[in-house]
Amino acid sequence: MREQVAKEIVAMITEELMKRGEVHLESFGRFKVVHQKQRLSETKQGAITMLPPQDNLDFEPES
Amino acid sequence: MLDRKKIIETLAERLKIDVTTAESEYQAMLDQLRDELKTNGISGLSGLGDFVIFEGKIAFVPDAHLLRSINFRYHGFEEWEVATIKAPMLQEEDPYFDNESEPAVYVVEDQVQDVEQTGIADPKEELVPQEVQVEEPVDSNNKTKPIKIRVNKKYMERGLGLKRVFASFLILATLLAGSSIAWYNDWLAGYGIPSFFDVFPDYATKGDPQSITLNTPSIQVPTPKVPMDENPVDTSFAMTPIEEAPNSESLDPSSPSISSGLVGTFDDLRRPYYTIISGTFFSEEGATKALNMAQHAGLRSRMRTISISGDRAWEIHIGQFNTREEALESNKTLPGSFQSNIVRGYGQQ
Repeated sequence: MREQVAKEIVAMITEELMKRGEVHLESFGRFKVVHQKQRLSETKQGAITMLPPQDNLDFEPES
Repeated sequence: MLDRKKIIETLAERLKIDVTTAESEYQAMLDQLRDELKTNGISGLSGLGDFVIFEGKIAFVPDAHLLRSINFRYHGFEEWEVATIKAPMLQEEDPYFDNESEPAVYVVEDQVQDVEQTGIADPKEELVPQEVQVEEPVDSNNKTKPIKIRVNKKYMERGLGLKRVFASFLILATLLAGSSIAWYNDWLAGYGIPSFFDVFPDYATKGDPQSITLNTPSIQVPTPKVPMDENPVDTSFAMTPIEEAPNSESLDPSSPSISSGLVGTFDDLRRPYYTIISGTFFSEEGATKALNMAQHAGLRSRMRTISISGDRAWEIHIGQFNTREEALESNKTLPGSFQSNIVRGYGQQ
């Protein structure tokens, strides 16, 4: 039962984050998805590479 | 926003349990996570990530599966690297640069995540600097100006270097082969031996498959004085007769003795004998010329037709001897071009 509960909670959190929503987990913090645009990055050798856009997970711990 | 209330309601709905049970289960899970975090400094949920204590605060290390799930819009994002530019080259003057050619345009579309190449009709334009237009793959509300970058594709094309290396290798191999042939001919000439194509100039262009034994330096052997033909094949094989030869008694071509060895007639062909296989030819014309040369040198020789792997071939036999040892011994006295270690017996029981 406990494992099934944990599995369902993880599934709920993942679905909410895929919908770009926020998740508040008590006594732990808040999860939210932040979008990062594509950007140019230059290496030490002088090569400029176009980095792809991506969505990152941001976590704000509760104080 | 997914908070405690919504989590409990959804949990009760999915597991088909009452809200109270769902709340207690949820609270028990949170307590377990909190206790593990305090005790071990780390606690996690499979598929979500790990909570760790870092500098007195709770930090979250997301699971890779979770990151892939939230980045579902950008799966395969490695293909987004559409342009690799060496920045200092942008200001250099390129001898391959053609101002009159229209630059090709690369367009990267959102969601499709594919690079479309348009405007490249001729492969020669690969050497012409191209212009890359990259569009920001975000939602339609966010209007971002496209980034235009000039790309010199000459430096991105690596196949050109391989072609040059291959061409250089071919030229070098041709030069080495030519020099090797010239050196071998010079080496033969140093021993007074004409090269193969000097002996058979017709085969230098015909290319008929053939073989002949050409090896050690020539040795002068006693030969009878045979009247020269009107058009001798090749005087380079003319033998210098020795006045007193050990087997001078056999110099008479009419001698019927089989022990005459290198010279004599074929009247005694019915008797068992050994002969030296001087050469094997895959063309009758070449074998005939070799036979003429041997006969011109005063050697008792004949041409015999054989079959090698189903193909017709012609052998040049020189001399006939009573024993194999005698044949091998006489072989040493042959001119170098006719010497052979192959001795075959005919008529033996």
